[in-house]
Amino acid sequence: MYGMVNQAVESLVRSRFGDDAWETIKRKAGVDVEVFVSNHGYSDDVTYQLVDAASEVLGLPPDDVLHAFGEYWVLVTAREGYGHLMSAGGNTLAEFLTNLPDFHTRVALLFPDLRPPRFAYSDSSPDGLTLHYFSHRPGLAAFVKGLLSGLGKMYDTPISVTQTAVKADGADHDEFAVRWGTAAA
Amino acid sequence: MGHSGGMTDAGFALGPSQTETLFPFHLIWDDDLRITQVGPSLQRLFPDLLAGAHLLEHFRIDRPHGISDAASLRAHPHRVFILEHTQSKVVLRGEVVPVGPPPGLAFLGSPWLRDPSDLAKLGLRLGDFAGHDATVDMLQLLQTTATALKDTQRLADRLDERSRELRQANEALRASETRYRTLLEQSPLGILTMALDGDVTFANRRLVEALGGRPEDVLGQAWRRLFPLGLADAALAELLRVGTGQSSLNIELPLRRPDGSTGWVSLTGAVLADAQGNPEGFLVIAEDITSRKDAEAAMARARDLELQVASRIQETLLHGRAPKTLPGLTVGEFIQSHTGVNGDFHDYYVHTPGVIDVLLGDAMGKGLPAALLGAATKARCARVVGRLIFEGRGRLPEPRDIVARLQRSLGPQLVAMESFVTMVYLRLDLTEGTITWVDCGHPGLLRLRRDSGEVELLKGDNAPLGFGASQSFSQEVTRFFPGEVLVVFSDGLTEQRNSVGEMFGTARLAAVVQAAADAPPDAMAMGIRDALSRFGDVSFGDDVSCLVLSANPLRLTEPHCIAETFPASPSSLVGIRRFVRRFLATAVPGDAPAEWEETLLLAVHEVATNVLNHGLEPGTAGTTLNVAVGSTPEGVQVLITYEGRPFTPPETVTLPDLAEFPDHGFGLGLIAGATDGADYGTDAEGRRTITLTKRFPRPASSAGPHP
Repeated sequence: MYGMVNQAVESLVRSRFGDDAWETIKRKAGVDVEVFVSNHGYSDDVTYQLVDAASEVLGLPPDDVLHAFGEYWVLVTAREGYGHLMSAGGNTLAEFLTNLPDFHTRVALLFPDLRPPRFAYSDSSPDGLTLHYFSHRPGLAAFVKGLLSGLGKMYDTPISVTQTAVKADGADHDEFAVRWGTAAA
Repeated sequence: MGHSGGMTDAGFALGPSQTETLFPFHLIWDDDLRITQVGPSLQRLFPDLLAGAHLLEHFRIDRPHGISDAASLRAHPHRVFILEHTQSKVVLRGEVVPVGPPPGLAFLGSPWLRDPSDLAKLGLRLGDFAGHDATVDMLQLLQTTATALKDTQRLADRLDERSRELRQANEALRASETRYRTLLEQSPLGILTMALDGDVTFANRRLVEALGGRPEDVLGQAWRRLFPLGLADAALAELLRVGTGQSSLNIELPLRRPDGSTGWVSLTGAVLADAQGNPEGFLVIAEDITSRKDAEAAMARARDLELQVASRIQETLLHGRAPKTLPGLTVGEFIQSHTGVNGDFHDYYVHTPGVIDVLLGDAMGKGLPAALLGAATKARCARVVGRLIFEGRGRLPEPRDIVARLQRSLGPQLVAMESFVTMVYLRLDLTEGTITWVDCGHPGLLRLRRDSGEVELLKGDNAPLGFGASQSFSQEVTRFFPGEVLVVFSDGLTEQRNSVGEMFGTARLAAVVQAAADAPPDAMAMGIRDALSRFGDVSFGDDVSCLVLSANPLRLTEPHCIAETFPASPSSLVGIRRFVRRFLATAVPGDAPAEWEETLLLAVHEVATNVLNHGLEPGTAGTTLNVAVGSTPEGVQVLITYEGRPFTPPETVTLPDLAEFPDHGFGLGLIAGATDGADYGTDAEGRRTITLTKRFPRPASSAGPHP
């Protein structure tokens, strides 16, 4: 997993729950990493164990934790690391989402070992689209929903996300019906 | 378009829309260097870049050098062209290819951005770049590199922080170690550490001093070499148990130092554990307790000495040396205390020969406190007796009055101390043949009767001293004849228990007394002691006092004399007679006929009557008669002294010629007949004296009457 994701986990916990909570979560997760390097690939287990430990220590369901991490990643972590690129990704949420696949395409080109997820979209309309999420990592749909929610906040645009296909339930990949603006109400 | 490498021209050409999509930053000019076409993204970047404008008005061709016209432009195929927008200094990177007709040149490239932040500065979006343009990829790579550098910096900062913390921790550790070493070295306690195998790894100065050696004598040595072998092994075994958490080490060991001196050390042990909690050695704190041990030994010796002193005090203060014989009485006794000192006490008050008071009591408790209380009671009782005799002008107070006064004197203090005293106060009047006793919570008395040989329990029902506020006490009276035995004892005797908890009891004591009826009092006392010892083990559970009193026929063994003063009143006649009778009970040989004593008493009575009737001057109320009676082995003299008129009896008086004593001669004759001599005289102070002398009826063995 991209180190920046783990950074998001750490940064969120430290900022909202304190350094002691982070040390407790790390200890409980059995993760002995002093600093996560953004573009370094870590074992997926590290992320999953951190999420599980955070869920236990913070008393939150894992999906809530993942959702919170997704939002935090967009609003804080990614903006710190890729703020200008993200800002240049589009003037609107819709424009950004249509550029989203290219982001990950480039990441895949630059860091083939990271095996980043792949995004695609279809059914694009002025007030929504269908986002396709392809990943070999299971259980991160809540993280994606958190990302989308964060993007809505970043563009100050109301957004609704409904998962319409679930890979865990046998679908080829996860799909999300994304609506924004008045359509999200 | 012309040929491209070795490929055959397939008539492929780009339309305007495709050109705009693929090359959004393209720029086309003619051979006059007039701009003919601007890509949409470039147009948005430089809105003033309009068709017809001269290329070099807006751009400086930085690379290749020396470009000034179309011909020179065409001379550099496949070269990197760098155009700098002269106004904004924005650099475009690409290449120039010929196009036409009409003939012209096209610049195909994009803005050269050094940092993702340039996007925002130029107002560009990712959508302004063609998909095949690697500029965005390069920006993303630059961003990644920047992020990596940022991560590296963050990691370096974290390492710096950790390094600083580690340095501070090391400094704190060194300071702590210094303090620890100082504490260890300055500690008044000896401290050593040792490995699990018993080798000493550290010993502070105090410990080395306590062991009397040098540091090298201790460090690296095996623990067991420091102390006597067996004791060290035992201590090490204790330490190992400490290691397993089964016990704690807290022992005291004797020392023999290298210089031959001896001492004591107290050891307290604890386990030293490693970071995982596994025992890796022991910490032993040793305190030199030689001084304390010496002090304890000295205290023990002092305590023994104190007990010895107290025991001797008890012998003299509480019990004193029991008289083997008292006038008319033989005494045997044994005293046994629980702790060497007890609260039992007894005393004898000899008022006159044949009249003896005996006090036996038991103060609550044991040891010195009880002994002190017993001594205080005994002393107070003696004072009370003396005081009452003084207040009664010599008249002997009744036992009940003595006890009542003692209770008034001592009771409140006993109540305040929450203590009490049981006692029996008895008076043996051998002249009257009576025992009068006051029993205050005592187990009673045993009287061995001569007539029947039976043992009789004499009891009373008064409360102990210090119980309540009782001010009056009842006394009991019974007969007591020569040859009879009275046993006075404390409750420790009858309440002595054997191994099954059974008490010795009064019945067993009575049986022992009865069985030893013919034994002298001291032998009977020892017999009681032996019986008690056999019954209840060799040690006594409580204080035990036992007095054996045997009444003897009165025998005068040496001359003696007593005196008493009586009011000059007829009511004194009985007292005078009793006073003389008491004396005679001790002075007259046992084989003298009763008439001998009675005639002398008759003579005394007559003399006293004469003095009262005829010897006193009128108006002399309040004067007194002094009666003194003395004896020798030859006989008895009675001296009556008074202030008044003298008597002048005839030279010779005889009875029964009553005609010669028409007035008061009968009395004088009676006196003359009843005695061996009646002398009428005056003493040195002018008082009248009448001296009656009566010899014992058997031949005298020694000379001269007692004056």
